[in-house]
Amino acid sequence: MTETRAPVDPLDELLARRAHLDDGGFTGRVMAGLPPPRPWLRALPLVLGGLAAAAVAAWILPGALDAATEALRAWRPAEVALPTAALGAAAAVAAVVYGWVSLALWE
Amino acid sequence: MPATDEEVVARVLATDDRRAFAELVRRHQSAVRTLLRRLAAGDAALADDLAQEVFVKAWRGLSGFKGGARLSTWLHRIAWNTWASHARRAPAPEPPPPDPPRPQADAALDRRDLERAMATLRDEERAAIALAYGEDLTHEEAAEILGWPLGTLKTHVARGKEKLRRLLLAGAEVTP
Repeated sequence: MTETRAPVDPLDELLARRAHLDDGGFTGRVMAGLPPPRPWLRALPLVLGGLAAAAVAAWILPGALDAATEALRAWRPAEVALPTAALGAAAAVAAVVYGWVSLALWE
Repeated sequence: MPATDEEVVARVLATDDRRAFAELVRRHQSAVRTLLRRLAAGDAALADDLAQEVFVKAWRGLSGFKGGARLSTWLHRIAWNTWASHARRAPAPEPPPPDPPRPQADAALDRRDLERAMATLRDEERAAIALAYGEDLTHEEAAEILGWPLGTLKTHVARGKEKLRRLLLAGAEVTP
């Protein structure tokens, strides 16, 4: 007994034909069009981790805060008040951390 | 074994991994661009612009992708919505008359012939055919994406196919 097969509809064949379109740089254009990454969001864990590590170090190391205060007193110029010197030192540390994080996230 | 779409999506979401997202684009670009070319009646430049918009929307909305549906279905839905909103902004111009049938070349009917012929269909017929014959989509999925009852989709597919058959296969020796 021979099986008869339903004739193939050429239109169905044409519609169902799945010619693969070459990428041709399409993916690259999509990736270039994506919104830029948000480095501050990615840097947040690093910054929070750094702050936590500093807090733990200050708590664990005996006299660490006193030593830092003494160092600040010794290095600051006589006419600069201690809080101003502390603020300046904090800004310097922040700049270093920012630079380090930027380098770490640089793609 | 390559990672599944769901695994790659999880990687993108967990670590904002752009390389992983590029892999998803590479996997699905052909299907999405083909769908949009059919909807745009062969306007490849417009279709590619819209496809790019589709993937940017997908990137932004990836956290809303529910694993219950396939990623390809989700992308087709975004593609359809993108097309529909484009069509509302800029109604399609009157399509050019299709080239006359080429009886001797029926065996060589290609994608471009089809896209040109699809330009003559009504919007609903074109959408129904483009999605119903979209990559891996069932008629049920296509109807769901379009927000139509299954019967409506089938009616539009049948009418559209009848018109295409007349246009494309008028001189063909092979008849269905």
